[in-house]
Amino acid sequence: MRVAVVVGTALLVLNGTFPLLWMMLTSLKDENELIRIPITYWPEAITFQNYVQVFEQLPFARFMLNSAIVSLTATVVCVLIAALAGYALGRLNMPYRRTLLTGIVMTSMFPALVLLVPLYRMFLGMEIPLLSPLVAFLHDLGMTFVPTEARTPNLLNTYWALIIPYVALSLPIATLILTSFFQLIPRDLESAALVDGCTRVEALFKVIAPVSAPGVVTAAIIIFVNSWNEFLLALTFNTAQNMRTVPVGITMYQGEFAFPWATISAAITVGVLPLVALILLFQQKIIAGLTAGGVKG
Amino acid sequence: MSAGAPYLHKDGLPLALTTPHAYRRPGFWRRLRTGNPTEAQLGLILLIPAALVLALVMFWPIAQVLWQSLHFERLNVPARGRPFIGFEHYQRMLWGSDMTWDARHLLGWRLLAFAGAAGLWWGAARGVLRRPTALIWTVIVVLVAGLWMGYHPGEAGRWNDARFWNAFSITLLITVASVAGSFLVGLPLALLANVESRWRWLVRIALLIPWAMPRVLVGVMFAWLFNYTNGVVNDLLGRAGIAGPLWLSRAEPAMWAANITIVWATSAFVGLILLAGLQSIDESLYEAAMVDGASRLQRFWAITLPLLRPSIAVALIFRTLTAIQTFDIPYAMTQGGPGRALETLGIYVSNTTNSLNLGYAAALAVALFVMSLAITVLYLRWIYADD
Amino acid sequence: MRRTLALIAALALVASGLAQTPLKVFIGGQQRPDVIGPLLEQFNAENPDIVATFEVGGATSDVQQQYLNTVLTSRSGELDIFLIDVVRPAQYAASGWAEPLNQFFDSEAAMMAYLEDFLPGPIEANLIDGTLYALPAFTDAQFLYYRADLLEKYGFEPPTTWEELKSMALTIQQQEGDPNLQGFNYQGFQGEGTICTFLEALWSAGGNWVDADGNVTLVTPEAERTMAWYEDTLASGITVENIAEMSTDLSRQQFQAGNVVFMLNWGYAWAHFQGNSPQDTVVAGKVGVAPLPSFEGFDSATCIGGWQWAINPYSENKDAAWRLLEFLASPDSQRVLAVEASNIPARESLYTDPAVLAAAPHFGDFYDVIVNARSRPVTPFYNDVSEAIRYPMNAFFARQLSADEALQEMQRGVEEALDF
Repeated sequence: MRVAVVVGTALLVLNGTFPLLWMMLTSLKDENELIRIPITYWPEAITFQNYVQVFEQLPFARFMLNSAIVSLTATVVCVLIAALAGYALGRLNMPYRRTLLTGIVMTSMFPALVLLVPLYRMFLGMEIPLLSPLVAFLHDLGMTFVPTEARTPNLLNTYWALIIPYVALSLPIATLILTSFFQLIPRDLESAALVDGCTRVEALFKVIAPVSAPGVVTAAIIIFVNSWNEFLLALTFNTAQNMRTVPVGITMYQGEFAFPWATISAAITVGVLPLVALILLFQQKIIAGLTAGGVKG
Repeated sequence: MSAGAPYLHKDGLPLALTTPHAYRRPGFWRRLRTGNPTEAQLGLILLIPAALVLALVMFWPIAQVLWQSLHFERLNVPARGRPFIGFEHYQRMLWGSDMTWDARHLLGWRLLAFAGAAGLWWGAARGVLRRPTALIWTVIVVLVAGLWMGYHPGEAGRWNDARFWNAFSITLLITVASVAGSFLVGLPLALLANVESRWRWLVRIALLIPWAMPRVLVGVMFAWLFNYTNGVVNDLLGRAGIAGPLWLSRAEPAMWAANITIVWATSAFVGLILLAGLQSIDESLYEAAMVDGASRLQRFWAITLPLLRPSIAVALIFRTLTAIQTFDIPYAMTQGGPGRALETLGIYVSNTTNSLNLGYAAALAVALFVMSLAITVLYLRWIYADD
Repeated sequence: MRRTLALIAALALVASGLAQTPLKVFIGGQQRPDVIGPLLEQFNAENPDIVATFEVGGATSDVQQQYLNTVLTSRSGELDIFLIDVVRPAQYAASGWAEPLNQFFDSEAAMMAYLEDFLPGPIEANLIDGTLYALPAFTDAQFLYYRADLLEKYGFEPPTTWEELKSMALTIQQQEGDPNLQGFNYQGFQGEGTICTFLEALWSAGGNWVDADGNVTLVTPEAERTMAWYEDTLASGITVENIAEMSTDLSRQQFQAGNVVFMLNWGYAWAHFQGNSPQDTVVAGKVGVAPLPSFEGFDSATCIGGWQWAINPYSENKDAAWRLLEFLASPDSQRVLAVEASNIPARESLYTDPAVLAAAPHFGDFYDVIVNARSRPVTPFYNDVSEAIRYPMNAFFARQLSADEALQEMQRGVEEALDF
């Protein structure tokens, strides 16, 4: 058994890291090494030129900042909303729970592509029954995050244009995950706390939070990664150079025909590493924190 | 007696104490005001933010798409305008309008296949069949029927969208293969990542990296790895003395290549959700089982799998939903080729949108939606089996 | 006093702000923002009443088109000018997505005089039933690239017929004895390059995809000859088996690595071969360019490429946009694009321009090919027509459809696309 675990782990690590390692090795190669037959694995001459290229050709650091702002905001907002909904659907004795949950999950069944035009019109401030007052309000508050060059007040080229749809896009999965986690908690546990004189809110933090911590963290990671990697909406809604996100930015290094693999590999490596670091942080610290806090409380 | 009740109520005295026969449950608004809502009320309040966001950003656009699918709208034929045509798009997609013998014959088989799947589903709902049995049989019937429809798309023509049936069966094939694949890979990944060890951090990184890669580039990257002449895959196969296939230039290997890529990219997602499920399982259950002398495998069957069921369902639902919409990986690898061997419904929707046939693209998107809905309802029944 | 000054300054600022017309130009990532940016700055300096800025979209024609589809479907006036692929103007004209440019000329005759200097190919694409919808920014075409050193070694001249190409390629492959050496490389993947692959051979057999009356003619002896030729390239071994995955840039890379004798490709490849490339080149100075071969007794033909400037009909600043358009299409701007971005000029006069020829001597060789370049189907349904041709072609290269089946499928598909 021990051997099986070790071998399995080794395979898993290899499977997961091989393409990234391949990218990293590629990013250290000269472009012409890439199309050689037979192919080379270890770079013959290590060059960091590709990394210099990544930051020189385009403001890649800015892309990363944009992605970070958008993804973090979307994650926090989405987790909060989904936790409320998940608590309602998973814990509370409500009629039509399954129908409501189906309704929420339903929204992720349409390809984002066909929703692009309606959303674009909405953010542009055209023919909107609901959003235009909100857009005007946010704009009046100066809450576009960055000044836009738009001719009419609209949400395009602002962080909102991505945060709002990202929250909505990840809401179904986050709600479903949290619902299933809240459902796992034995009802007796909460009732016992209530009998002990806890209020519902106290019971929430003392009893439910610790048990559902893995669920919350998982939901957060999923929302974060989904938002970080989203391409289509980011390409269409935020078209100003300084508002681009990482995945769109990476494709900007390519040409109509040419695909500079070495530069793009370097960009992918730079773009993925903070994500990995962040996920590790989430996994190690936050899970530990939430669980420990629950036990102490 | 009833005449005296109102003033007591006004005094705030519990009605039940004085006049038990006249007791009424406090009204909805009253319970809200007094800060003592019922669970249902509380639930509705907690759902408001989610409902607002979804109504604004999802339901409203979706409603527009549904409405659009009932209209003729081709932006490169503006002279025709945007007339309402009812269900003509769906009719074209599903059976066509000129009822030749061929069309009627096909229609019969298609209806039969759908009826079979629906029958199994009802059977499961009514408790006639055991749910897992029904689930497996439904998958088998849908798969066989779907692939049959793909291989017999009917004579191509304006009124029988053979391309839709081809895309339908390819989508089904990719869905079943990649969902099963990512589950079979993801479950061991989650189990391994949950093992306490010094290397757990490394395992977790390895688990997450494939999924953290920008999806738009995964396909391009794998197309490069699968390249016939310069690809790593064929190079490694060659070193092992195996002649590598023409991965992306022949239909069957391309299907394999696409599924391998999708499984690689998405098993991490499944693993992550299952890992969270594993983490929430109470250790004491295992200890108790160990005391009872249960073997590792018995513990897995008796404790892990049942307690993991909700997580498995969540992972499967979302894997399935994204698999039905599969677009970027096959598109980046071969643009849906070779021929139409990888043209999924998602790619068909995209091509139709790019051809500016917005009405039909909307109808195709709705078809995709219906496929997803049927499957999700099935899964959700499984999660809420205890209710 | 200070306050008054500040007020005046503020007023002046407002006034200048009011007087300046903002213009936004959309270009793709591959269309050299680093060259277009300074051009716009020059324009802004020359026209103080206009502030032109630009926005860079996705890097490929498909991605850019998809973005423009969204913007224009939404009838948005956020963009004023955009670059579109040469295959698009007919669709833009039908959809009302490109402002007709005739209104900016005094008369029909003045317009035709203005267009005189442009190459006929791009104008054919932009002038639809007498209405001008866009102005060419730069042009492109597919060329026959060949290894001049190898041809010289075996005493060959560049081939003029496909048969010659085949026998030369076979000879060189056999004599060189290198199993990795490909005789003939072209695009067979599911994309635009494949349509050119098909049409170029079809044209050079005297055929076309439609006849003079507009009937689709894809099941004809000419088309069968085309398919037989491609069948032959695979059977004789001058072309690699994985041609169905051969994209434009994959072809270029293979040639640049010295693995190919003859190749069909766009003009961009030249600069790569000469060393202006992220990859090393082993073929620098060993590459020749020639018109495409044809079948015995027929004229050679090639596909036209390139990009066009068009004005957004939903723009509120069309007059200012036209001034910018005129500037961008002017000989001076096109010279800058040719010299600094190696874009093949769409104006005839630049092919004899000393500055251009000094920077890109090969444009002289390109001229003979470019001037005879033909348009891919000019139709509002280009996407559908393109799909209907490239899918069977790709399936044919992947051995899913026989030559006859592929032609039947094309005929049916193109007819369906045009019969809406």
